[in-house]
Amino acid sequence: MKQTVAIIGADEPDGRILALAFANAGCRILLSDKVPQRAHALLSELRRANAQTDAEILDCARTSCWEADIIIVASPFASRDEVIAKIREVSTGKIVAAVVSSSSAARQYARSLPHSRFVSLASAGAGYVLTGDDDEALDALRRLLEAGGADVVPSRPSAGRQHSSLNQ
Amino acid sequence: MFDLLRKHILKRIDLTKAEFQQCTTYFIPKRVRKHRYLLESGDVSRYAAFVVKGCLRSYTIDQAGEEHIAQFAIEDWWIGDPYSYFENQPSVYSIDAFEDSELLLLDRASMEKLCLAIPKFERFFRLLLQANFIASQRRIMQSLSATAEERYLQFLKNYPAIFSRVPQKQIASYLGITPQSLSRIRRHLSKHA
Repeated sequence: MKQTVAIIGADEPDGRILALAFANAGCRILLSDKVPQRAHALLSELRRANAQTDAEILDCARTSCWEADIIIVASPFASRDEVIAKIREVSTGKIVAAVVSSSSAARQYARSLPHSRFVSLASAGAGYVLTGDDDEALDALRRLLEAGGADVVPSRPSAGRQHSSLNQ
Repeated sequence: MFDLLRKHILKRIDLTKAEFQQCTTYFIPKRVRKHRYLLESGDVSRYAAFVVKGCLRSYTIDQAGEEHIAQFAIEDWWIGDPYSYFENQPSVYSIDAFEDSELLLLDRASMEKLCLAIPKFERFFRLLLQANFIASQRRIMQSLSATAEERYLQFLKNYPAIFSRVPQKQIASYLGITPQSLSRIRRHLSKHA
């Protein structure tokens, strides 16, 4: 069945790239942004890319994450506390992937969402390095992003194979 | 979000506050909007879904395109396809929402982990499966031996809350009769009430 992916921070560059990739992979996309109007440009872009794309904007990040199977946090790390407060209750057991620029940021997200299946996403050239302890979650995300045309490199923190951009 | 689940569990087993808190970490909160799917036939039913709010149905579609409803579920009920869930096989059922619904989902791995972490849940799930087995047996017996009117009256008795929330056509499908037959039965019963 079609996976539902919530993108928080739909107006951010990574939010746009990831939304396009998940939409290409055939996922249903729920966009939310602190300023909902900002997500409209991305919604139009998704529909221009594929008129059949199942996507919409939801005003409330909590509602979109409640409905989603996979949650992507592309909003700036500075808004982490606010985002976590909104999604914590509805993200238990779900794959939550956050765009991070350091392993410290990834650890803070993971600690804040102990009952979610956390994966960090670090930009690496034209693609992303996926890092996390949950192999199934890593694999599911990798498959979807690759199906959507994104370059991805799965990694596990314990294996010491982190991308350099994740090491502070 | 978890109040109804707590009451539902406490009707069957005793749990401490700490045990209940721990148990909530195994359930996936999921919102399904009206007309959206929780399961599509051909996919494996990965979740047993506890309904916190809303109304859903599970059904199959035959070769002539006719829907056959296997189950309705409202608040405090579970819905899923046990065969597909336990055997990890594609389901012949689809499950969709009649109303905007709020669910708590439990996958197989989490059910096992929950039973290992809090063994009292072995009894909880045994009681659920026991009730599900009895309900299935009754439904089979009714399909084989009861008249359409008897099936309708039993439905009203067993599921009064569903009756007002689900279109007549869907109830007819659940009973295995046409909507016209259901109308006739209702007219007949109202004349003799």
